[in-house]
Amino acid sequence: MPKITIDGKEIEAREGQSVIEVAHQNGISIGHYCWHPGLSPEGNCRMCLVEVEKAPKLMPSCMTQVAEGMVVRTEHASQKVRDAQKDVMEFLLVDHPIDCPICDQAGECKLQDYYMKYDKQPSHVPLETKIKKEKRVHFSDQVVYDTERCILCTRCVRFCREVGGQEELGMFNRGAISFIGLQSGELQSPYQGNIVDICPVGALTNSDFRFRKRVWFMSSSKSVCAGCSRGCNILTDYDKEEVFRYRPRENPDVNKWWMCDEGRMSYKHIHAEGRALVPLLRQGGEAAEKTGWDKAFSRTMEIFQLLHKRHGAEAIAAVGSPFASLEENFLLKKLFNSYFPGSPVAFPPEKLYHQGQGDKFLITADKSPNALAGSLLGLSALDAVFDGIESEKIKALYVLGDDFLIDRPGAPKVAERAEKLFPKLSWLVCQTPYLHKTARIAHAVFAGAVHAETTGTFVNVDRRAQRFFQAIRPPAQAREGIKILRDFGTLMGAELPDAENPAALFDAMAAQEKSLSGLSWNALGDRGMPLPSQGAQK
Amino acid sequence: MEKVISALWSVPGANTLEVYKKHGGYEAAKEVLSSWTPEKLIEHVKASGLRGRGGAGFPTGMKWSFINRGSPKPKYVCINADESEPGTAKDRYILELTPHLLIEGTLICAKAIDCHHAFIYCRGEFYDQIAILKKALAEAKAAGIVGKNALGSGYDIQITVHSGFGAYICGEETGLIESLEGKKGQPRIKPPFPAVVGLYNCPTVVNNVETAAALPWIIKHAPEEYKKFGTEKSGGTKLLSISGHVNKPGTYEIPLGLPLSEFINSPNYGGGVWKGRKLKACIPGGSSVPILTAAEVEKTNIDYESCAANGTMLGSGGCIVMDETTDMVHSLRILGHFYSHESCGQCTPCRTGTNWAHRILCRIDDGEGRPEDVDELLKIANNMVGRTICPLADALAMPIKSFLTKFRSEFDKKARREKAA
Repeated sequence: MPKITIDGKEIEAREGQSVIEVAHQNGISIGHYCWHPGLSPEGNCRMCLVEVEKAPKLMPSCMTQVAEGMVVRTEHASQKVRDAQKDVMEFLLVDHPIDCPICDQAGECKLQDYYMKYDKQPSHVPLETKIKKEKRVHFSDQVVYDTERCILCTRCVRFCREVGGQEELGMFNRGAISFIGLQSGELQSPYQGNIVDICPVGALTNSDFRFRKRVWFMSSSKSVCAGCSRGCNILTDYDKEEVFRYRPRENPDVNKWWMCDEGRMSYKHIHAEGRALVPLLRQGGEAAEKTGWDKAFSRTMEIFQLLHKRHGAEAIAAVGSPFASLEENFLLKKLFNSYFPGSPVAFPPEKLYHQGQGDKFLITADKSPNALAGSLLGLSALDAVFDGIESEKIKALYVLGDDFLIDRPGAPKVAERAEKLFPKLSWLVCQTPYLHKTARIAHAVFAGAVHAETTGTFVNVDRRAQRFFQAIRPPAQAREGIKILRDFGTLMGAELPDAENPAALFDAMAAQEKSLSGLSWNALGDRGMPLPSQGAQK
Repeated sequence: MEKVISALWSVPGANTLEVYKKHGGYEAAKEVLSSWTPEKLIEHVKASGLRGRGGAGFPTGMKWSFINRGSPKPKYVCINADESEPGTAKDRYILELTPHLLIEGTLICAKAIDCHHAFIYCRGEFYDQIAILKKALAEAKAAGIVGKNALGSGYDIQITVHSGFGAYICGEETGLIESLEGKKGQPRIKPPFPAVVGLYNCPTVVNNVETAAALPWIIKHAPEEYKKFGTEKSGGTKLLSISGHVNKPGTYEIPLGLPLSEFINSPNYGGGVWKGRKLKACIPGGSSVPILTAAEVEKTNIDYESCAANGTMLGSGGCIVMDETTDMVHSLRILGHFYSHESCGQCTPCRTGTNWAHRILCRIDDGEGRPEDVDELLKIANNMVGRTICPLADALAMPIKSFLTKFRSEFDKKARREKAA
C-alpha cells in the first residue's frame, strides 16, 4: 500500500493504481479527456499532466503509477500544471470548428467546460485557416462522426477493442489530419451507443438524439433499464412530459459505465402508439368504451362482489407481471389475498419473456426487468389460474400489465391456453400501459403507467433490488400502477399498507415479505442491494 | 585514419559474401558466438565507449546490460534501419555497400542479450537497399552464417528483414516496435522501457544500423583502440552526412572530436561552401537539432560534449550546410512541413502544434504573416516541448526556437511584410 502525497494531502493508495485514479477517489479532480475509468489509459490528450517531485517533466497522471513516497502537485497546487493545461486547451481548439450552436454536445461538452475552467482566452486562429475535415460520417445507423470536432482521444477505439470485444474502429492517417474511422463495413457492436456517451466532445453523436433537444433543458431521473433482466442503471433524460434518451449510470456491480443499444432505445416504448390513455369499460357492446376511473372501478367492483357472493372468493384471481415493480405486484397480492382469500395470485412463468441467448456481457435472455418478483412474493404458477378457468372455478381475472395473447417462443403454450380460456371469463380486468391484444378483449382496462412514469423497485437477474424514479407523469388519464391498485383496493375495502410515498411502501413491503427482510428503501441507495440469499432464508 | 565502418566502401563487390569474407568478414561474429560470454561482450563494448549512433547517443554496452537475460521470455534485437531524419544518409550506405557488415553486427548484438531472433526494420523507401540486404541475408543463410548453429558456433540465430511503410515516427524505438508488431506506428509511453517490455512484450534492444556496423571492428580490437579515435568522452568514429550548400556532399567517416568547420571545409570531407559563398548556418546533427550560426560552427567540434556545450546535438549526424543566401524562414518552413506531416497524431501538443506552427510559417513565408506571428511561433514551440510521449514535438520545437533566436530579424521582417532588401 504505497503512501503518496497529492497537493499536500497524504493518501494511501493501492499498488498499481494511477495517480489520476487515486486523486479522483480522494475528491481531487484532474482535468482529462482520453482517460476513462473503464478503459485502459492511453496518455495522449496531455490534459491530466501533473507535477511529480523528482520527475524532470510534467507527467500524465493517467499513465503514472503510484509509488511509495511520491509527491504529486496537480492543477490545484501548481501554476506550471495550470499553464500546461491551458496550452493543451489552446492546441485542442486550434482546429476546432467552434460550431457549438449546432452541436448536440453543447452543454455537456468537455471542451466547453474546460475552456471556461482552464483556457478562457480569445481565439487568435482565424476560422477560415482551420483544417477542414469530413462532417457527418455515418459509423452506423446510430452513430454519426464529425471529424472536425474530434480531439482523437481514442476512447471510442479503446471501447470497441476492450469492452465491445471487436477492433471496429481505428485511428487513421497521421498528424493533424488524423481521424477515427471504421476498420470495415459499419459498426456492428450491440453496445455501440456507449461510444457516444464516452466521447468527451461532440465528435460522436447519436442519430436518434441528434437535434432533438438541447441538453440544458432536460432533467435526469435515476432509473433502471427495463429492457432485460440485467437492470442496467440508467439516467432517464426528459423535458416536460417527454423522455428523450436513456444514458447508462455508473454502477460497478451491475453495468459499470455501459448499457446495450436495445436497452438504450427502449425509451421509445414510452411514447409509442397504442398507449392506454383512459380507462375503458365494456358496457353491453363488443368493444370496451372510454369511461371515467370511478365508473371503471365501481363496475368492476360490482361484478367482483357479485361473483364472490355467487361462487366464493376463489372465483376471482389475479396475475402479476415482471414488467411491473415489486411494489405493484405486492399491492396486487395484498389486495387479492385480503379480499379474495384462497384465490390464486399468479405470476407468468420465468421462460415466457426469454428471447435469444443473451451474451457474456450485459444482455440477458430474459427481456423482462423484474422476473424474480413472482418467486420473491410467493405468487403461484400461471397454470393454476389457467386450470381454474378451464374448470370454471375462476370467473374473473385481474391481469397486471402483460399481453398473454401473443406467441412468445419462450413459452408457447401460454398464448395458446390464454386464447382458449380468456373468452370464458365473465370479467377480465387488464391494468396496462398498452392497448395490447389482451386489453382489447378485456371487459375493463385500467390505463397504467410505464416505469419511467412511476417510482419503484425491480429485482435483476442477479437478485439485486434496485430503485427507479419517476421521470414524467403518465399520459392523459393514465395513472401509476400503485395508485390504481390503491384506489381500487380502497374502494373494495381491502387492507393495504398505509404508505404515503414509495419509500414507506417499500419499507412496509420489506417488513412483510421474508424474501426482502432487512432491506429498506434508503438502504438500497443509488446502486441497489443484493437480496438476502435464498439459502439464508431456509 | 583507419576506417571502422566505411573501410570496404570503395572495394568493388563488398556487398557480396565472397569479398566481405576475403576482408576478414564474419571473423568477429564467429569468435563472439562461439567463445564469448554475453558478460565479456558487454564489458568489451562498454570499455570501447561506443554510443548509440541513432541520435540519442546512449552507451551501447549499458543498453544491453539492462536486459534481464535470465527472463524466460524470448529476447529480441531490433536493428533500426528506419533512417529518415532529413539530412541523414549514413545507414543507407551501410545497407547498400556492406550489408554483411550489418548482418555480422546484428549477430553480435544478439549474442549480447541472448537473443535468437533479430529483426532489421528498414524504412519503406529503402526499396533497393532492402533488396540488397535480403540478398546478402540469403547468402549468409546459405553459408550457415545465419540460422541454426550459426558459423558453427552452436548458437541459433534467425534474422528477419522487415520493411516499414514510410513513416518517420517508426524510427522512434517504441514506434518501431509497434509497427513491427503490425500496428500503427505510434510511440509508447515509457516507462516501461523496451528493455523490460518491448517487442511482443518481451525484453528488447533497439540498436541503430551504424552502431551494429561498428561492432565487428570493435570486437577484433582492444576496446581502447576504438576509443583512441575520438575524444575522452566520445569514443570512436562516426558517419556524418553532409548536404546542402557544399562542394562535396556525401557521407564520410570521421573521428569524433573533429572540428565542425574542418568537416565542412576540408577537401577530404565537405570541401567548403559552394560557389565561393560564405557560411551562414549549419545544422550539425540532422534536422531536429538546434541550428548553429557561422560563428558557432567555428567553436564546435563533432562530438557529443562539444555539441551540447554549443547548444546543439550530434544527433544522427546529418550535417546541413546553408550559405549566406539562404532564406531562414523558408528553410524552417520546410522543416515545419516535414514534422507536421510526420507527427503520428497521438499527442495533442504535437499533432496540433506542428501543424499550427507550419501554417504560421507558411503564411509568413508567403508574405501573408502578421507581426505577432513570430512570438506566436515561439509560444507554440515552448508549449510543445517536453509535453508529449515521444520527442517528435521537441524535434520541431528545438529548430523553431533556435532559428527564431538566432535569425529573428529575418522572421520579423517577413512577418511585417517588408520587402527584402
